[in-house]
Amino acid sequence: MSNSRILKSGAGALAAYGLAIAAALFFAFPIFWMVTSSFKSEVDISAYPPVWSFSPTLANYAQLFTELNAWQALLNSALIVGLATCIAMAAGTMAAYALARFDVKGKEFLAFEILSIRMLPPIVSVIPMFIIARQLGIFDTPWLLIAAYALSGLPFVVWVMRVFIQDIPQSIEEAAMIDGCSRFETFWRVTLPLLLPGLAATMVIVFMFAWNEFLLASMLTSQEAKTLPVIAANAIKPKAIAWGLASAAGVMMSLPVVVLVLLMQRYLVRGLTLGAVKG
Amino acid sequence: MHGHFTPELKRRTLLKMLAIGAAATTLSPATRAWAASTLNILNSNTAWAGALTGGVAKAYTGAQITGEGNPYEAHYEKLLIELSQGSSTFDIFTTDNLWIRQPLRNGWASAFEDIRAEDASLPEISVGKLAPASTTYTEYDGKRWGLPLVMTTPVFVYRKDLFEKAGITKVPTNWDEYRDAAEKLHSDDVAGNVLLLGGQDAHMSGDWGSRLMGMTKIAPNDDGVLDENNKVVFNSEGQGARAIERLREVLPFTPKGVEGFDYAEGSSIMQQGKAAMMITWSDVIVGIEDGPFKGKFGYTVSPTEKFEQQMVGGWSILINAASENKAEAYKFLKWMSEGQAYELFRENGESSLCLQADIDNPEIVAKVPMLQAFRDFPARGTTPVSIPPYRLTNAVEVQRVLYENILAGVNGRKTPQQAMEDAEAALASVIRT
Amino acid sequence: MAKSGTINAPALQLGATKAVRAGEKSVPTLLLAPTMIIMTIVGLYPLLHSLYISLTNYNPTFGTSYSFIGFANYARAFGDGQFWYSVGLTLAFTAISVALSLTLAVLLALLFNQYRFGFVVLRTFLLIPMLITPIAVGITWRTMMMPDLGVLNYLLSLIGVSHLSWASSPSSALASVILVDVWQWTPFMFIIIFAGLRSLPKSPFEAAAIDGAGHLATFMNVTLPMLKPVIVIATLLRVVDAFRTYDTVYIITRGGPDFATDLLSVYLQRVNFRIFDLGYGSALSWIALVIVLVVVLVFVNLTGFLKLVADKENR
Repeated sequence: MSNSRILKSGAGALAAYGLAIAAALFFAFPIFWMVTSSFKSEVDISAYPPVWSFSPTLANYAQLFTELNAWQALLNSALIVGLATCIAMAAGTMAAYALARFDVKGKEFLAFEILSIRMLPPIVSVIPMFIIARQLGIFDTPWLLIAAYALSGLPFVVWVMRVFIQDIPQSIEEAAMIDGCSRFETFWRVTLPLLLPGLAATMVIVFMFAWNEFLLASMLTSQEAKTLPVIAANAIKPKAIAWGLASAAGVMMSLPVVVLVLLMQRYLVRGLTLGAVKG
Repeated sequence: MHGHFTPELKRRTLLKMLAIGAAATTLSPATRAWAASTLNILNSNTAWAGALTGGVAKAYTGAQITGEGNPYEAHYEKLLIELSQGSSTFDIFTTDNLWIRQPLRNGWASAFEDIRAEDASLPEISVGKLAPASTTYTEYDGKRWGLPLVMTTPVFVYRKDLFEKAGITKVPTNWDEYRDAAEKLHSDDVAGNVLLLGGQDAHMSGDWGSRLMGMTKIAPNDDGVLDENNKVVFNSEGQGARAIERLREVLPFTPKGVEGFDYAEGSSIMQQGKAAMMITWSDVIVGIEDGPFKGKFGYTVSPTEKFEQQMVGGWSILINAASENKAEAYKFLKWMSEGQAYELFRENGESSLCLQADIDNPEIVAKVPMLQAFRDFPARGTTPVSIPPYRLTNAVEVQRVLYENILAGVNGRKTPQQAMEDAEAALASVIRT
Repeated sequence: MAKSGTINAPALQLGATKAVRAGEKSVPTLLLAPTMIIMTIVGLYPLLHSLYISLTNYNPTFGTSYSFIGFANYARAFGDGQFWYSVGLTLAFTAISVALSLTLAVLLALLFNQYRFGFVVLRTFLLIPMLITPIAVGITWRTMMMPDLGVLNYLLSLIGVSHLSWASSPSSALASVILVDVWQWTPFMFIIIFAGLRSLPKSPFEAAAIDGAGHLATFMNVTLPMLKPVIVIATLLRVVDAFRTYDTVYIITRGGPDFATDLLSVYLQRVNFRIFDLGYGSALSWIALVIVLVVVLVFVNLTGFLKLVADKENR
């Protein structure tokens, strides 16, 4: 390599790392602040100038799990959001495949109808849902929330997966089907592996939105089916804000989703190696 | 063909799983509806609320007390939605006194007398142990509908050390003295005083309301904003505009960013010593002693102008008319009225106490400085006034209209008089008698 | 007639949407069925309910009786200055926030597409903000942005920048809230665009490299066109969501100071759940829905998205 090329690649690497680190800092600093705040006592949290070294305390987390019953809320959230995400992913991907590969009458109208679910302010659904919940006797049970979250995840899944499915040339599927695979086998063995990055991204997002949803969760649950966002909101008192508790709640609620994302990162990468299949 | 059934199969299995799940849930003996003696409370998330489901639930042996906390706005929404739909999820509900007329006028609560009429074995409930100013809210239509939980009033909190340094020997008791003190105390590092322009409740009732109180004579059944016939009187003698002017005259002595401040910012600022004086509700300043200026704060009644009148607010607890356990709820409230519950509130950190014995007890006042304001009431001859405009069912809406116009006046977008006239005009269509 | 299970080879060459194999006629319906069922059962009732309510004067504050008032709520909405102010504010907020997020997301996707040591770890930090519950995001930023006591002003004071007002002053509140929105949702666009970038075939890039194309030319002529559908989708979804921004903004500013951040969702929440004027609030919600729909349709047409989709599916 010539000197100028070494220099260029060195400067390029420096710039790349510089930008990457700057970006990571921008996105990570408030997270860092939240995490450290969650371990601070009330005195340390409100101190100014801000304290960077302090003696950590688990009081905020203790309060979450003892007073606020966060453990049960965690289980509820996991069940409700997990199920809803699976339903949305399954139904939505099937619908996306239908829209992408088949000539469906009124296709675009259908697609926009699905998207319009997302456009209606969630406020309008609260009271009708409450009425349904009481009449069907499913108030404070997971079912209505699961259904509602599955519904609100559908627009994402359908629209995003449709684009990702379109990206996979039909010739590949045709080739497989010529070789004797059924439509389903083709999907399962050929299309699906290529769809993994899109599936991973969509699943994370659908899960995340349902995980953090507050309005419906707060109105449709009481003791039994209460989810995490409702617990976290209790850091906001009528005339004050419990900063430490809010941070601890934020950290606790984010951990499962962050773990999920870390797991999904592998699939985001996988697409590249299989991309070589495409011509 | 085999491929075509598989999506169908997947769906069917899913539906089957859901059905099994649904059956399992209905069969499980989980919910509280099974236990005949469980009382579910629509609760808030304050200190007393925590005590209700904690210490109080443990101490009360007549039934199992359950409830989950709700943040302020979700509490109001739940209250309205649950009660208006006649839901029996909650046997007992707690409410900010600002909203209390809603359940009362809509028939969503049950009066003590009515419950006793159905079950003569229930003993009478007396509110003798509680501060009289706190019990007015649960009186309606000649009957008693619930008990107070806490009692609050605007408290004037100030930094004693900064007063000394600036040579202020007399704690301001009227708005002229307050303004002078604010100017004297104001510096680049420490603001003279704090206003809370960014919060609807904070600004309308905490800032403007406290100034309004002392300006005109308020009759026993009026609240300063409305008279007993629910006609607007807040600017009858121009006092509404004067209150705005009083706010404007101390606006230069506030910290930067005051336009966005709500309760949380206000108490943080005082706690960290960035301001010298603040007038706000007593339950707002609970944590300010937990900072670097512990012990340096003084507490007293808010300044006034011509009349010694102060707002008294708080929270109350009532029985849901749709409850299936009204007799049990009644017994619980009877037990509460005897006092132990209020002591447990105090032990759990609540400082807006309404047990008369606590207010009269110097040891407790020493530990809970906010109570000093209530102790000063007799010294100043203060008449308590119920928080405006609580007597309306849509008090929140009226408060919002007032807030928007007061803010316009304080920010200079309208003249104070114009702001008040616009508020009156807007309220003409909003207030239903 | 080809029997199901056998393949009719000539028919397949016409393009898959046309090449419905015999016996596959019902497949699209079956595939769409779960979605349609969920939409009908869970989505239809609230929709109809709110439509009905918007034609009444229902307000639970005053009890449960109400009367039918026809389109009076909608008429009232047209004269509601506060509502239209909120709409305008929200359109501005959405446009600026999404534009910033998009630019940032694309640049970051390109940056992190390189294989460098430690990039996977750094990339993870990029994804986290959107995962944090909006309540915690709002509270954290509210604390950080406090003018006198917040850590941001503290850090800025260390480098000599004086006291910013952030979200406490009407002049800077909207910008502050946009900053938080960009911080929170750029990861969302990033993850979609990044996944799209990673799914692109290698050959066009290899061909461009052989042709000697520079970075910018490759980006403009190879990457961007192939990435267009993904970018449009990410932007579309983000626009629809940005229009409904509520939790974070409300916690930080409650719509203030002095209405500087009184976004549509804040105003709707106030009408619906503070004043509980549900009839009027539902009408406003429906008007908001129509507005978003119009924005989406305009956007989709401007970007030629539909044509793109049709081309791909008829290939």
